[in-house]
Amino acid sequence: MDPLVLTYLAYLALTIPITIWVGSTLRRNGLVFLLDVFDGDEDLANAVNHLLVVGFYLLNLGYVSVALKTGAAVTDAQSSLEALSMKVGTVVLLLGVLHLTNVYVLNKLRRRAHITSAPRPPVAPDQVWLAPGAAR
Amino acid sequence: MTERPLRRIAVLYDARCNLCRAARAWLERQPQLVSIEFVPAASPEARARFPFLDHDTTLEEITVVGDDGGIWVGAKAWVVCLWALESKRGLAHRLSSPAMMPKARALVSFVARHRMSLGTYGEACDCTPA
Repeated sequence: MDPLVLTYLAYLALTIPITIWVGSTLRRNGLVFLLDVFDGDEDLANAVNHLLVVGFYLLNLGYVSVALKTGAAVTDAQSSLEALSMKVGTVVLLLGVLHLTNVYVLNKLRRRAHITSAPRPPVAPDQVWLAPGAAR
Repeated sequence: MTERPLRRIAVLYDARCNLCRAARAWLERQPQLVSIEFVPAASPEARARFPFLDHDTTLEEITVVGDDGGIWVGAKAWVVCLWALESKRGLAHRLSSPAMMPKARALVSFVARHRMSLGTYGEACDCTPA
């Protein structure tokens, strides 16, 4: 078979499983964050988690597909491996950036939810008047 | 230190000062998570409702009294006011960090000391301090 086609097949055989692996990691661990953000509302957390994971797959598989074509001349094993490592490396770096962005956003959502539901201000009072109910 | 949730706060502000009234008007316009009530500092109302406060001090620095009995003064009072607003909770948390609190304290006390010269003092007064 043409070495270029073999390289493309190897590229897909590597990047698609990696994408699925990262996606399933996101699905499993993202749910914990979302459950916390949505105050234990499992249906809502599952729905948002599913939407996020679908978006993640669309973005990544789309990128994998768009980035398939290589401009390098692939004639032997060496040039094939070089082209392959360049392509797979780019996809993995992109996956990493997307994944970390996702974790950052999830954590920010979680923090905001915690701050909004906090019962007390972040500073302790200077004094406490011992007969509460003054601010009627 | 009290652990009860804070649901309402009363802010004692200097109603003689334009800057303070502008700050009050700004706070009033913001969506609140904890309801804020404004009482002119050292007014008969403030003295009647908060007999335990030193009312001369409340004219010097902004004072917040919570429905839990907590009393916050100066920069801490501002942090509590910001925390009461829906969109400023993050800011309140950032200001309350050990790195930011001294800076906030310096700024708030500087503005409090110079508020008479920042804006026209004593004009259009809506209260008479007792």
